[in-house]
Amino acid sequence: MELDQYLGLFIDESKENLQKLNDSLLALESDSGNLEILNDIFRVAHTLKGMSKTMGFNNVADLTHHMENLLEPLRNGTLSTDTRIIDILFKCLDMLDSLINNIADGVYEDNDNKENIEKLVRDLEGFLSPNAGQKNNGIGPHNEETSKESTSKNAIHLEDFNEYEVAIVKEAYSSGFIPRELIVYLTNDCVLPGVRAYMVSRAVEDHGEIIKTIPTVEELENAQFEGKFKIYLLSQFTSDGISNAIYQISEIEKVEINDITFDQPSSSDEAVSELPPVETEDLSSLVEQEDLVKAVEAKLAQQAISQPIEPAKPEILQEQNSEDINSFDSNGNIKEEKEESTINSNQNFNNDNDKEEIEEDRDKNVFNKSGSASKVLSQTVRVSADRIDKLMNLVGELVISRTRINQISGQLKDAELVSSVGLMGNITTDIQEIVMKLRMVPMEQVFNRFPRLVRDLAKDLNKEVNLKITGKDTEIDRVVVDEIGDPMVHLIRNSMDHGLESPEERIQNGKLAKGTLELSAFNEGENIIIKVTDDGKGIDPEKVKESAISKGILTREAAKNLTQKQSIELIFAPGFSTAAVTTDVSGRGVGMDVVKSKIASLGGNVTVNSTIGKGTTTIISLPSSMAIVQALLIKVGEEIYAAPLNYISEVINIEPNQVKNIQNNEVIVLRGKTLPLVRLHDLLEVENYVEDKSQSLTVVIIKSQNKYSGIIVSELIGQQEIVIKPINKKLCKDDYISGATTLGNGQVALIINVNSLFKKV
Amino acid sequence: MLDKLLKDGQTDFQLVVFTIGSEEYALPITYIQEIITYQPLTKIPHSAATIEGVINLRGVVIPIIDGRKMVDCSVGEESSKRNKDDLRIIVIENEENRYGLIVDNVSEVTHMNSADVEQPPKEIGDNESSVWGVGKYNGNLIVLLDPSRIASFNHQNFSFNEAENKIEKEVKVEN
Repeated sequence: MELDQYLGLFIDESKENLQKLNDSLLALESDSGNLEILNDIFRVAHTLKGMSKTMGFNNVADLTHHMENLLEPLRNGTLSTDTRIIDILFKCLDMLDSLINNIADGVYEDNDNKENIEKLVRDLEGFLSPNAGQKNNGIGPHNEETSKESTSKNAIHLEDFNEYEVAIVKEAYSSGFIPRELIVYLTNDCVLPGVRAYMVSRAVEDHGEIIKTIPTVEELENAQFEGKFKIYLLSQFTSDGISNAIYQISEIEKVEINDITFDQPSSSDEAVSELPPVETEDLSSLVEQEDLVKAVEAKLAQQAISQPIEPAKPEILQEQNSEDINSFDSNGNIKEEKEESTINSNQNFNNDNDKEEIEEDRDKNVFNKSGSASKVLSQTVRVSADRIDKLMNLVGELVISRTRINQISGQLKDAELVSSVGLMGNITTDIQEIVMKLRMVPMEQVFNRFPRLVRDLAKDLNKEVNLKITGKDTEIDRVVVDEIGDPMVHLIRNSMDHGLESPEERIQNGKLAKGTLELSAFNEGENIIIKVTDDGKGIDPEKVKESAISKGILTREAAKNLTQKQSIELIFAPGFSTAAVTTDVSGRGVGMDVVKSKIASLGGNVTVNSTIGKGTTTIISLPSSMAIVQALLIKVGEEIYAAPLNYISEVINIEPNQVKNIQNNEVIVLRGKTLPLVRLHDLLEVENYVEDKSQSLTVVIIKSQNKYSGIIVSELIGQQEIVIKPINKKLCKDDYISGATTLGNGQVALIINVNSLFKKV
Repeated sequence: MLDKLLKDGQTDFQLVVFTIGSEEYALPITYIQEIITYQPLTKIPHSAATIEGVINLRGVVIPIIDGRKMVDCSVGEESSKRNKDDLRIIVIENEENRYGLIVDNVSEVTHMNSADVEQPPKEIGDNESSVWGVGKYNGNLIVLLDPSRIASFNHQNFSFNEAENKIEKEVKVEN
């Protein structure tokens, strides 16, 4: 089978499902026993199992299968959710995550993890086995399953239906549903019959209720059938409607739809007579084993506490069967449970076969549920990021040539040309805006991983924390989403480890035992601000200074002159770490400086505000778009550079004699403020630069946060929209260049990393 | 490089032969995207010595390495002083990046058998060298270059991810 073409889809969907699982598990932790959440988890596990089995990733399928086994009693309420169970589920999630990642890396059979999986499976089973012994709790799930098995295995009458199904069918028939048999033939060259079968069953679900498939749903999903399969459906739709829906799916050869009729449709007594002899045999053999009967009675008595039915003797049971058939909805479950206990105590049943039926039963549940959930049609289209990047590039080129054509038409001064070029310009701008939006994704994608991280950290560090996340909907460039995650993890770790105190310490300091960690994102003008705030102990500037001095980052003399804010900023210095003891979580001295350089490489900057005893806020500011920005083109010698406009405050002309020297550094005085001055040609090592001493100097005033600085350039070219193209960052070792762009004439202009210019002054 | 080809079961491979200075060099054709004529370059401040600048190749900005500086060729003038129209830029694409290599002349495409390739003599080729072999061809020797090693821009290799990985590794070791 050529699975490669589906692999990407599989990985994408698996990741989505794992994210869902993660969210649900976190929700479950705070609201254990919420059936809705448990059902969600179960559904995800089931979907993962189905997909991975189809793709042949048995590791994943196996693990999810066992997860389901544990989830089932949780769902039934026979096992209650506790932290140990949630922990093991989280462990499974991590394992699944790493398995899927390995698959993405091309490692399909992960032998390294095999042992770990086996251990997890044993742990999962460990939760189930002790429970089986407890009479009150243990009966539910196992027994229910076996009973289903017994009836359907033994009662293959009336066109392959067991008596339940017959009952359902009749019930439905009387309320206007038409039972139909669908025989679906797949084409011979069908690549993934399992997937097609799944698609068919999904399509059919919209037209009614599936009561049975042959082979079982499990086998269908695993493609264990030859060319065709049968679905039994209760529907109010016409056969044409159903077959049309199925023909929408490709690789379907043909569909036969037959209405099912009953020979003796109305008499319930007749139906009872259809009951299989095997069943009676079972029961009679049960009668012989008197001890067991007593056990059954005992168990039934216990059940009666929760469900008001009379404990019945096997003979009565059989009788009751006959009565129940017509009223399956109200009494079917009850009857089911009685049989369960009987059969379980009988112990004559083959467990392997049982499982098949359990699966089928579950599958039906899951199908029905997911079917109803997917009725809300999605308004999105999945497009590969590659294509969007290409589109973006092309639009970038379009923007550049628009600028060029604008210039030419301006020179030609042809009124008609100018107006049509203007119109084209408007359209281009619209296209550009739309494409820019395509690149934007909500911050949710970044924030999603943090609840789990914070939970784990809180456990590891024995701290209590309340995580608040705001601004999930803030949109941010896709490139940033990929890059910003790691720095944020770092900040969160810092806050959790160094910032927040232990509960005891917090209470001593008169704070709530539970600390608060707040992540927020919002737009501010052209920039996006991301804040990480904690209400921990804050950063002590004196400690930071001491630490910096002891690490040789600055001298004691220099430290004296620093303001509080400047001292705190020392944490961004390379090789700095304030934690007295380095922990696994943070404090390895590669922290904040790497965060800073990463943010800087994205064209943003990061600042820290901190008050001792009150907490720390780290503020990341990023340009909202990473692709097209307004820039000022400047000439330095013969080279053209671009400087992002959002960093430029103004441009002035000064006479050479206005340049003053302070401690060998050149400065200018602008409206009473002294600004450091950089000669760009010196800094960028422009060759053959000849300075005319008598000419006035063009100074571009740049700003970043509250810092201002002047840079001397040779000439201004003008303001232009530029398309940022990535270049290998290793090309320029001093970080003066943040990217490149192409100009209308095809020439490359480098984009100055304005932030790096402040470092020099 | 050679090991990799041999491991893939490839004994015969195609090479693009070109000259830098007076020597003949070759690169596996599978790594070569195209060969273009010389284009004006934009210089990059504070870059490694071998990097001549960047060009705009149909909307993509790629770095250009001067072949003469790379092989430390002292024959003839530097690339910048030669007649630019005669120069060629070989656009090379490997797993990590795409870049151009300025050469004096591209002569031909040829086949070579791995039996005709020898590991470079120890004195000239260590692990860091961009030479992966010396091929015998028509009685001459051709220096075979390794496309992934030409483009190791050797400074600032420290990235965030590496730092993170390092931390994780250390944590694992401790655990």
